[in-house]
Amino acid sequence: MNLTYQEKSIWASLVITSGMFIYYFSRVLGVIQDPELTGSSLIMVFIGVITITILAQVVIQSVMAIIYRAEVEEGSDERENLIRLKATNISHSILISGVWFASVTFYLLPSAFMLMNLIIIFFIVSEIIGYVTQLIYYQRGV
Amino acid sequence: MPMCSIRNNMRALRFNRNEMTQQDLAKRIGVTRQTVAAIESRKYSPTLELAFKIAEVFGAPLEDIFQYESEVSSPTD
Repeated sequence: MNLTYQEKSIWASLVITSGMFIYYFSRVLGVIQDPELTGSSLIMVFIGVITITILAQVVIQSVMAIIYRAEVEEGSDERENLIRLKATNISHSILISGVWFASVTFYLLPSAFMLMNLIIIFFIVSEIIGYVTQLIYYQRGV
Repeated sequence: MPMCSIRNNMRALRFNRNEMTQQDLAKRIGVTRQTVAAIESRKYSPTLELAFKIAEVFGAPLEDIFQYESEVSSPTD
């Protein structure tokens, strides 16, 4: 499969986001299953995950930009902008739906901890679907 | 695989222009090689502006390069 720099960049973002998502929610599940642990014990984990995600994105994207310098200098063209726009549209719709869903079910959730994590789930899922949508458009056409 | 309704003969035109590569064409019209490949394989319909740029490179009228198909059939049909 002959991938462009943009596709490789999206794959990198997808792997980083998915990895952090899996790690964070494995910790959340641990808190839910263990009654001795509280949601507040996850605050440092949450901050750590956000920090590592940002750092990993900066480092990996910078290294890729150096490796694929020629492609980076070309910039993005109208097809790539259209792909990004369509993917962002889908991603945004999922995020908004998720926030609405969380708002409506607010009174049904046992705690603010659950509400926060429900919103985080929708945020991350919308990001992942946005990346996947872009990859599909790159391969299948837009 | 979805195909756009705009047919084109860019590949033949490139061949007739001293076998111009996709990369050469991409550079002249200001897009990536992958976008040229996507247009040729009907995975992407260019904007009007880009279509005019392509026509300018080939020195041909737009309708000689791009043709609209009202009914699109997949290659397996």
